[in-house]
Amino acid sequence: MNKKAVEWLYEQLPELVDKGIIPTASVDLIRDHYGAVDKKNGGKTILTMFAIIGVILVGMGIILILAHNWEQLSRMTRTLIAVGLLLVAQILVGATIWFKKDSNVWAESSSTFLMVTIGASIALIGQTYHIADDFSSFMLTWMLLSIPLVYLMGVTTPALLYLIGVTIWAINGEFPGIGKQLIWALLALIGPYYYSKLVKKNLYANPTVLVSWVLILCFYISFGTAFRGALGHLYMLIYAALFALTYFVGILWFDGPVKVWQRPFTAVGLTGCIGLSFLLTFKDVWQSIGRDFYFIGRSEYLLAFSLLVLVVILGLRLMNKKIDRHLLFGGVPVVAGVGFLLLYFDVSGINATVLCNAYMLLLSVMIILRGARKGEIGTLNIGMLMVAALIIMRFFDVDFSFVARGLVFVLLGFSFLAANWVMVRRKKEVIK
Amino acid sequence: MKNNKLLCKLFFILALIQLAVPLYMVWHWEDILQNGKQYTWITAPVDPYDAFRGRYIDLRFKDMKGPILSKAQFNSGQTAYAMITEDQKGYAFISSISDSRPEGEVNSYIKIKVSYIQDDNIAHFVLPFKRYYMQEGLAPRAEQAYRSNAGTEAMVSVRVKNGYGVVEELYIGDKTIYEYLRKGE
Repeated sequence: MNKKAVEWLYEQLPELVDKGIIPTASVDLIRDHYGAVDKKNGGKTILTMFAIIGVILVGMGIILILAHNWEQLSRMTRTLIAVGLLLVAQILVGATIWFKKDSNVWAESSSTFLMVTIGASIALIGQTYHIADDFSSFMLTWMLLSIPLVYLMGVTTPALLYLIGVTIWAINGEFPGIGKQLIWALLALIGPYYYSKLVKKNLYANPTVLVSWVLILCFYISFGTAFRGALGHLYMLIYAALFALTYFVGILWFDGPVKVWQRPFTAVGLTGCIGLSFLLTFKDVWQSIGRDFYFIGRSEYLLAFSLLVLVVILGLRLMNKKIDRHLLFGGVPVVAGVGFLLLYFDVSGINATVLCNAYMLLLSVMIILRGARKGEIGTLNIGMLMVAALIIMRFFDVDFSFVARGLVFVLLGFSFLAANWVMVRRKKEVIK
Repeated sequence: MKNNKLLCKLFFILALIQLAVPLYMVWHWEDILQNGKQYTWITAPVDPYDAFRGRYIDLRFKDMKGPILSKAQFNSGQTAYAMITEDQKGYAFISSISDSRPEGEVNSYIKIKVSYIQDDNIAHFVLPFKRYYMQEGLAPRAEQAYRSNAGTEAMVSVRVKNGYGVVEELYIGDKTIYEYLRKGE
């Protein structure tokens, strides 16, 4: 429900009654239907945001002041400061539990402060004893000591900081063997909170959307870090499968009638699918993959295969739910997979390039048709832009004369103008 | 209310764990400083910084390699045990490297990370004490002082116990780094 629109409607109601446009009885019916507009909530959200930003700044300030390495402070004084800071923050959280249990502002800000303080305390002890632990183990200790706060207090900011923290751990750490795969267990620790406290409660509330964005971002970064060794050759196929999976998850479970930014899975997945499809239309990309096509390791095949199986499972689910029109947009891993098969027979990459260009063209035409059918100028223009980009980029692959390029550009320009003109005219007719 | 009490109890346990970790760290390192054996290592300081812990001097040691004692196979990043010996001048160096913890030797070995193996019998490694945190204004000057006194040897005294080592003090000549810098002002 658009709160601003309802507010505007309520403001209009007296005037509409005065002018006799609607009967007085309708006013109550409308108010019953939409309910009261909760003005307080907006204020509280802003207050919570400022409180969180405030405590993060204070916490970071404390860390920086301590990072000065005061020569005058003895080891005992430093220990007292570290423990004292932690105690103050813990007392604040304890007081919140006892006195302000229902206050979201207090819960979020005191927990965030405690989380930052844990980091400051460990850093101060490390500094005092010249501990040379790498940055990643410091982050890991910090995050593991903080994650219970998310569950005890039911707070979002520490959950976000935790996700960022464990991702930094994965990026910075150097672990022998499969040590980096621990990141999946660490990310999964946030799972129960994400599902039961956020997703189950309200899919499109600000905290859910915010955590979803950060979760997706952290997932992709962690994936790149954890499987660095298995992304040497099949990376295009693997990422295509990953983006398609993200897109399907978005369509299956987060596809409400809300704004694009409130559907991070769909937004990231679709952008990734289209972006990757676009990259795969370049001959150079296929040529570079083809150069060492026969050196692909078993782990790469296994990873790509597992992801493709997941894509098929979710694709079947989409078909069962009869929302299979999205399959075409998420079909990039299948197209890329066929491209790799073609590459097997011809490492020059020509066939694969032609296939991906055809797929990209089909996608663009589908978007244009959808825009035209629904009368959405924005969608139509996105499709046209995709076609234009596809044609323009092909000039980088093959040499054409300046006259030919000029003519294509003029034609593209005219088709943009014509399509928009037709759409605007059609809209006007509908309004009439 | 009952729920709130449970929450308080759970938070109390969490708070204790959160306090215990830094306190354990203090106890662990303080114990080594008080009861560990003192070694002196020759070092060459450089000055970077850590976003959370401030500026420090990156301690680089001479001859960070040693002969492998057993027939152990080491991989890069693997933990190993290095025996510490003192030369005639009293400076510490690593005399051998093993894949098992030396028995009965509490103060004369240190846990290290193997970097790479040379000729199947020499292990190159990184010592665990490689930082000396300093006041932010002084750290760059400490590095500068070291560079402009190339003839002077920089040394670090380290306390070692049960395979762990903690830096006690950084020296240039016979003065601590702070004394040296103060003298130069």
